[in-house]
Amino acid sequence: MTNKNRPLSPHLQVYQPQITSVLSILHRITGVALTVGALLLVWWLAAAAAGPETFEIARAFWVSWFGQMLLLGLTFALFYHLCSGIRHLAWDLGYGFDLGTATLTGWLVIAGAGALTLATWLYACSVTGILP
Amino acid sequence: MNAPNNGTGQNETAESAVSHWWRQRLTAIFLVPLVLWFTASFVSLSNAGISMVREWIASPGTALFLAIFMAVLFRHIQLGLEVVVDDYVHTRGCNRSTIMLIRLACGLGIVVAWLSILCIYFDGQAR
Repeated sequence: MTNKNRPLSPHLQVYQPQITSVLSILHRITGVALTVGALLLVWWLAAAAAGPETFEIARAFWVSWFGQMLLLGLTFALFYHLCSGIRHLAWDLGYGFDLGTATLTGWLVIAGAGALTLATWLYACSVTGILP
Repeated sequence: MNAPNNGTGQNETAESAVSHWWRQRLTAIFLVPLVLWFTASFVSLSNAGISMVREWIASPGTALFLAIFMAVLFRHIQLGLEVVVDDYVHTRGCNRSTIMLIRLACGLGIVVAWLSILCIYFDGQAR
């Protein structure tokens, strides 16, 4: 006697958004988004293996405005998932569960992801010569 | 059979759920240094043409760590996506077939990545 229409977790609509819950779902969303990044990475490797013509198609995609926007989004997703993942690992070890600490580490994760994204793109701009 | 979802596909044992949990954490821990190394390398290749990229991949250390990175990355993706599917896809047949598809795609990702790395590595050694 299972009620097929019973509410199933995780349901997002019934709660008022809080930093803890928003960051939790963001961890999952960035994880799924990074799957696309991983597939693009395989494409990049395969293109490098295939030869100059194929690699040029891949390179042209990455340097296009769409490719660059995608890379920027993936950079943030990567660093967010990384920082948030470390926060999760700390929880797995039993640290940082009280509400004050969880809120603080949540903001730290956002700040860390933002700072790492900025640093990565500044580095990329200096590599490509856009910035000295 | 109405066993609850346990993060390994429906109706699987508690033992495999624990192992699933551990594998997700272990791959996560290994990915921390690997992803930092890869990102730094990838960004430093921002301006690189194919010859520089291939030269980078063909060095034995890079080839080895890149192969490990791709394998651990796709294992982590597979484990993570399985949990997402278990949370949102509740029909048994749909759940199992989606998870099979994910495993197939992740396995394929590793195979294509490894073949590409090997191909570039041996080509680099032959020069």
